Amino acid sequence: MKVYISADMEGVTGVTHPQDVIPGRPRYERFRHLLTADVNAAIEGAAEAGATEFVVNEAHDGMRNVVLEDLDERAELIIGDMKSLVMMEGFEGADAVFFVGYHARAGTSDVLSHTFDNPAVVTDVELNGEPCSEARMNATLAGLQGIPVGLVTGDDLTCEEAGILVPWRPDRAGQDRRGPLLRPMPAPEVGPRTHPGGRARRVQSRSVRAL
Amino acid sequence: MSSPEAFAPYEPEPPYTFTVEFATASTAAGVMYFPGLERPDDRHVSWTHEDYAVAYKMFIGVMRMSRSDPDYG
Repeated sequence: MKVYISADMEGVTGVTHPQDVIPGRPRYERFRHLLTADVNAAIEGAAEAGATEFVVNEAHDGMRNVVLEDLDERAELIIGDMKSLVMMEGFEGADAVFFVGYHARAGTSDVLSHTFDNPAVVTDVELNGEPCSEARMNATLAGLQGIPVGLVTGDDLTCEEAGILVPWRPDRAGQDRRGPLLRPMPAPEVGPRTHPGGRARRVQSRSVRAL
Repeated sequence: MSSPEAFAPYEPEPPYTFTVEFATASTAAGVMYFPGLERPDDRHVSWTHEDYAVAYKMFIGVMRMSRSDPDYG
């Protein structure tokens, strides 16, 4: 069983502010580790369910956020933003797609909500007349090739939005939203399983595609 | 996730129409280079295609082209 993970960052454990997710900002380096840990937790859960192949596609900003040396060594990583399918590059052939670290669509009252571009530029997106989040547009791309969504992680509104995409309702949000930038942080069900520092890995054995 | 068979893919019916709302008319004007794009009003652009992958890539292209106005006001 092959699992494909599209890894965004605004919905990662503990993220509450643009300073957490913009490369070069003081808190960004810390949250790269939490992103990697969220991805690893998803891989671990999928492996326990029987998945044997894992492809992780960077899906946030310049798409160079995952800490390679901390990433589960079973995973292949697709790095960079010169990808024709961007957030969904390399999804073909998967048995299920996971959306890790996702967020609600532009114009909603949610942590770092947006749809692809800066919310000050793109204020709304619809698909066939209905509100369209990144999760919806990406789920459609996979779904029309027969690939279901197996996991969505993010805060409560993100999971609520994703409810229309899947026959099962996401029953656990990583965090509650209380406003556009502030929220409490209960212990996430899908959360870091490794310490931010990780342990040394043999990166030369890792399968990495740079685009 | 015990089995992918327990989950159904999300498969909306064609044709597929994307509509993007921009904050400014100038941003909407600035993406109107792709064949098939329509501009129903000052701040919206839309396109329709039977093949979702084509419509999706058009979305990526429109996003790549879009740019905000310089700060003013």
